[in-house]
Amino acid sequence: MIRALRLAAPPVLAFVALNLVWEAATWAFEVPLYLLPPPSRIAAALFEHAGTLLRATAVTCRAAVAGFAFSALLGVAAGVLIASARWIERAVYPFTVFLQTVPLVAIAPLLVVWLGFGTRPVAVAAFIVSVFPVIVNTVTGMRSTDPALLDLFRLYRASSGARLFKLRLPSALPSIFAGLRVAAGLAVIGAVVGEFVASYAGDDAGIGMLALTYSRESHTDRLFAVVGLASSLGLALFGAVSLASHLTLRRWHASEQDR
Amino acid sequence: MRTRTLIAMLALAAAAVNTAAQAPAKVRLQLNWLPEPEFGGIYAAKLGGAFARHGLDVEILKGGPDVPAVQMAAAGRVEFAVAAADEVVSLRDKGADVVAIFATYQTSPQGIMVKAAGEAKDIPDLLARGGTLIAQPGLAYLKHLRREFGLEKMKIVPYGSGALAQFLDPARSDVAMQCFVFAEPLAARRQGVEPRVFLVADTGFNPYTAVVVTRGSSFRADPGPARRIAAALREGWREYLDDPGPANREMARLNTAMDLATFAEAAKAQAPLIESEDTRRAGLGTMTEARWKELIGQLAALEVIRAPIPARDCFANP
Amino acid sequence: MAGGNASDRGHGVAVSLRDVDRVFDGGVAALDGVSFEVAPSEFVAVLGPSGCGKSTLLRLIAGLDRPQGGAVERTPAAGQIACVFQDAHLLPWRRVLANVALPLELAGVPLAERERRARAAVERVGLADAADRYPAQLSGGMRMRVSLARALVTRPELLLLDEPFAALDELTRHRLDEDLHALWRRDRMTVVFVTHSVSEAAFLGRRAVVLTRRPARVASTVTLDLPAEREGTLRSDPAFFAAVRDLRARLEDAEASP
Repeated sequence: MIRALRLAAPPVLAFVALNLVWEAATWAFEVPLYLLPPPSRIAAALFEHAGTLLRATAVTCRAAVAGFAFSALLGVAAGVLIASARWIERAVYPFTVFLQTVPLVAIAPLLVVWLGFGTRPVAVAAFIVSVFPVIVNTVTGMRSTDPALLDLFRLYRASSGARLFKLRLPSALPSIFAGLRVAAGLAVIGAVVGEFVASYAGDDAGIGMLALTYSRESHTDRLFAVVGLASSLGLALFGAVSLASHLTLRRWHASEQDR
Repeated sequence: MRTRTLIAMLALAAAAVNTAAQAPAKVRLQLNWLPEPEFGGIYAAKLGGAFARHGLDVEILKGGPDVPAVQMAAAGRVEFAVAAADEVVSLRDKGADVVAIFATYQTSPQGIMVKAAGEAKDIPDLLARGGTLIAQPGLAYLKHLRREFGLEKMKIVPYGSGALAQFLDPARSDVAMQCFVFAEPLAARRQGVEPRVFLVADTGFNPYTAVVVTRGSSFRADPGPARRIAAALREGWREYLDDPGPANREMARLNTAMDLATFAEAAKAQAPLIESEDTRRAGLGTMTEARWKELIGQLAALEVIRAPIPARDCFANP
Repeated sequence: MAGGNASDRGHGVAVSLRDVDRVFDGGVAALDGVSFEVAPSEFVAVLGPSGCGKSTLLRLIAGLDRPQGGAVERTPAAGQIACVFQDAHLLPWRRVLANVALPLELAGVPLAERERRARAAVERVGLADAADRYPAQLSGGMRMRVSLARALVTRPELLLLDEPFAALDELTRHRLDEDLHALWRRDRMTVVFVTHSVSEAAFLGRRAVVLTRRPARVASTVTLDLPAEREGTLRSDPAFFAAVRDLRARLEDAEASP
């Protein structure tokens, strides 16, 4: 208990100090509300509009989690496929890189044309942004199998299915989880950016659309509150994946031990 | 110092000051949309020389759906910007010091357009029947409509670059779209879809629109530039109302989404919204405190602002 | 398996290498004309300078690699092979028992039987208490024992070891040498044991094959004239010292030769 407190103290104290300085500065320099609201106003906005904000967070969360789930499943599958043969890698890899580099704001209107508004295009946006690290890390993990273990499996005449599921995939798990951790945060970002263009406005609005609305209305305090919620959502998803990683790997992988 | 050198320096300085006074003042005017007939008078003032005659070198900056024009003026990034009156009130409430100096539209041209084949009779009827509404999130009149008639039956989607295409899509019969009454409807008709337009002002929400604003502190310190630009705009709009041709050609060049014929139609259709009894009496662009007070009251009731603010802080007729 | 003398079960595979060449990409020749025989159930130590290609040799014998020239033959060809490498190479995500059972699992042996045989193997290497632990929780010596148990669980007819105890401390190493030899005496599979420790080669092998530097050839083979029971006490026996001296001299010759 004491140890947990001691670990949490530095970042918490830093956060509190930052907020105090911020509050004092906006007061001292008489910064107008629409330019930079003080933390007290942001907190007030958070409470005043808790219903709307939480509803929007739930909307974005649904899309982000859906996009992330697709990234996890399709990303790992694609990674396994790419790692299985050099010619497949040469054929497919350039397209995955393409997915990574095309700016989402350019594709998003197309997603609306193909899929309409609402959760579907936003989930696809989240998928597009988050799948690449999963693929790359899966490929790396699949390629780093201990060659001596591969020899051993060959010696015992293991089928390629046995080799994949009993050796290569478990061996790749630490790398895959590393990719999933990155993908979690990216999925939230992708969902929020996708919502700029593809979310409903009004009652079904997600975080991204609320941010846009508050920005246009110059409700900067609510804007900051929404941004804070977006970060929290990203953190929560990241935390969930980290927990899954810890539970799966803790008994055997160096990265999860020593905690 | 030698007397002669001193006199020479003073003469140079005087000449410099004189030249400065004679050189036109460089200012930037940020539009809040793409060049369209709502800015006709502005372009006419530039092309016809009205700005130059009043000692102004105006750089007109194009806008779009997401350009924060009025915030830019509030922050001093530009000297003048175009906004709607409700934006002015909302921002003033949040500590942004902007002042309106010229109101293009005496009647708000904000409207909602539907397909002619639809059955809705007016806006309340439309909202009761439900459907999809393409609109910029954060529009003040949406709040007004929600309060007066309720928006639960409408699915609101954002007004992005593909908005008109969504409206024109023959597969969608229940789609409505935010518009300026003389802009998007004409574009739709050109594309072969006959629209019907409902004026938002008819539901009781009628802010001055396409209002030119400037930073309050600069205006109070030196009302000169504001006075000059307002005078130039009056001339420019008079020119545009008489002959929109030259300005339309320039705007059509800058905004390829609308063709010249549509520009001409729109210029004609918008004239009644620009002139009114007030403008015939006091000149184009003039504003009254009563109208501002009414708007402020509405916005307070809609909780866009926390409490009414003084109307005369919001505008001036320089 | 039916009766017969404990000492002549003849359980093992015979290995024959004739003129084996192995060249890697880039023209690096690891083996150049290596020839020697291993009789069934024989315990042969392969000795040579570091990097001379001993590991390559072992992989050729296991069938994991093919020679460019010459022939590697195992008789019978389908005999069960097991390998033990310098690192234990266990599956870190499985417990000890599941690791040991792996070869049986890959061969399709049903769960109950493979668990039984795996437990037996684990007991033979003295790790019955650790059967439920993960490799990360074991010491280096214990991990090596697990690797050994895994190798033994299939009752191999050919056991290939590549400097398995090199990373361990001397005492553990001695213990494991003795345990290995005891296991061999009981099961009588053919064993090829690669090492660069002269005393280990002398302690374990009945015969020793000494290789030259790379590209490796057989420098000499010698039959070690030592008692069949290799207990710890052997290490203080003068006959042992003589054998070690002899081997060391042969190794130095082999290292020096071009």
